[in-house]
Amino acid sequence: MRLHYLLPLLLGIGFSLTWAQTEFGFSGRIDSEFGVAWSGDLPVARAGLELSVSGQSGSGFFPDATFGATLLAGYDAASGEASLEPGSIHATLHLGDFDLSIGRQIVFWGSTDGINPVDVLNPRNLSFPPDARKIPVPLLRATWYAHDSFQLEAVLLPVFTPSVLPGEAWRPALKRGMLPPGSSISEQREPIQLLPEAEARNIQFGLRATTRFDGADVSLTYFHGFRSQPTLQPTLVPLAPGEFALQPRLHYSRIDLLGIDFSAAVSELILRGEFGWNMTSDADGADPLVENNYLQAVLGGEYAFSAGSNLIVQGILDWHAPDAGKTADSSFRLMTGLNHQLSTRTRLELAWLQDFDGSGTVMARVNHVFADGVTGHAGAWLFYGADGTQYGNWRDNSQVRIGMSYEF
Amino acid sequence: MRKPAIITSLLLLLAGSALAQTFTTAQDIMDAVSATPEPVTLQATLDMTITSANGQSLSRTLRMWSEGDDRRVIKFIAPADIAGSGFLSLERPDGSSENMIYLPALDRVRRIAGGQQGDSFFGSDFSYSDMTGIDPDEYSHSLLETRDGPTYIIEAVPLPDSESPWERLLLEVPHDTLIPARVDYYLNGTAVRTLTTSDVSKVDGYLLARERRMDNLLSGSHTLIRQSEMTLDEDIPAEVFSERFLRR
Repeated sequence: MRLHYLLPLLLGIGFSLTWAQTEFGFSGRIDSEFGVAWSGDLPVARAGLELSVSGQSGSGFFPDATFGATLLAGYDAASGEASLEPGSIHATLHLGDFDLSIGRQIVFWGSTDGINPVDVLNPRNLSFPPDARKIPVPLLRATWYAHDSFQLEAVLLPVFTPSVLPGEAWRPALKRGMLPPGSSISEQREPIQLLPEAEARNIQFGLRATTRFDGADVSLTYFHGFRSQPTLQPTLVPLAPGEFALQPRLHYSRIDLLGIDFSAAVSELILRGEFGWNMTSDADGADPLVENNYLQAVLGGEYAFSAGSNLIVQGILDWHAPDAGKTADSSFRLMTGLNHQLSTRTRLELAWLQDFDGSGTVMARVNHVFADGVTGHAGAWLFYGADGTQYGNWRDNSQVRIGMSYEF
Repeated sequence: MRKPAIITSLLLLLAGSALAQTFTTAQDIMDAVSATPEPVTLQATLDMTITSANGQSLSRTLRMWSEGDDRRVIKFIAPADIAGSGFLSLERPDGSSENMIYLPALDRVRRIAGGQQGDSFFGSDFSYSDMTGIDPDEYSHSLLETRDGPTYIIEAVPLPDSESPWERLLLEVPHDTLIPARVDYYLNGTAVRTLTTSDVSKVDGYLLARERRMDNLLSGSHTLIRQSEMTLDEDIPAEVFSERFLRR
């Protein structure tokens, strides 16, 4: 009978002590952004609110646990869409040399800038592809800090989350070469998404080992899961003789990724490289719905000039195994980035991405700190190239954007 | 392997008690500065105020943990738009430093190149090299003048294999504290920055400057750093000087 009262009492005392050692912090962000495209459209006229709570339980350099949660709200007058959604919501237990995190999280894997072949855990919001932000997803992440110079990560993603598809203006044109002579397309339907079922065999996981030397680090990555961006397969649905509806189907291919990435300080240069070899279930290219095997490799360096400027140059190779009876598809792009601290408050960023098909994009952006927590930005994106080229198709999407944010 | 950063170390500008005799050579002065006692570890809160040429100011609050000049972690606490960002500096066995920054918005740790040592530290007038300290062994020193006080005027010129981004430094070292009260930084024959230290007092038996101001002579801006909540000689776990702690 005594135990009947003692147990809740002990639990209550324990909970009170834990609660007493728990520290909370609240923060938030209010932002707005407005843009005008070359075509005259308004791509964005948005206001947003972000509220966060974070904290830790325990004290000292390494508390027992840390946690954080974010709520996002926004309204975009350009699209008429209002949103209210959770952002990152996660808790991390610190158990000696282990960290164990659970919840909706964003995880970065990779070494290079802008394009990361091994950074495949989080899908992206592609509604504005030049600034495709990551989407937090539910995952379980265990990190073992085996040594100062070695760590091992294991990540489990129980549910597949696809990337947010590009807006209408950014979608690739559908090939209509399969249309029978004399017939026409009278209707274009919304894409059908063929998502992986939520079942045990579709659970995704990744492993990453990182080792550090003096002035260098190297990581090996393995990921078993799905591409978060779909393969597009247009199909024709007969409506009447000589008349069809165009029905796109979006398929998310299963992949096994093997990757290696590194960064190394060599004198005044930082070298960075990242290579990802993706094996799909359609190695012979027989199924048009399934992505073929593909490789993405990025290699480059960063050099710092005096007076606060640094230059980044990277070469990017994409290679896709051929469909049956065809030749392989490959492309090469050169990325150049220049960052310059104009003053204590103002920073300038320039980026130029040139594809060897003759198309490319140039981005210029200025960030200015007006006051503590108050920042503004203005940016311009220019796309050029011939019709049918990677960036030439986006010429009319060239645009300028300005925005302000206040963080508290 | 520990080498005292006596010229521009952000946090520790320590000196022993006033010496009885004056010095006649730069080497004697630098040896005396090097011989002053230093705490093994230091933890401190730094209040940073960045003031632009037109008088507008930005405030930053940072927390710093250091073990001599070999290992140092600095994390931003406020304001919200920069909170969580951090800087880790580790000295390699060959005496060069390995520096990384953490950007929470990207959940990414980035390595900083040697050539970026002279870059602005998170938009302030201090540079990354100011935060890691400058090894006096990387410079040759000459005594240019002895002023009343006495105060020694010393020229420090980087040795050929130095990582220093500067062409030369001019130091004013008062005899009574042996803490450089002023340092002028030169590039292309012109003074481009001036560091001044003030509020020198004893803490736990160590003489240190609580306030440092860096003036950018080209832009007209300046940054003031004031130390508070200092804890000296208390053990800091080795795991603190790691990427894991930087991310936390």
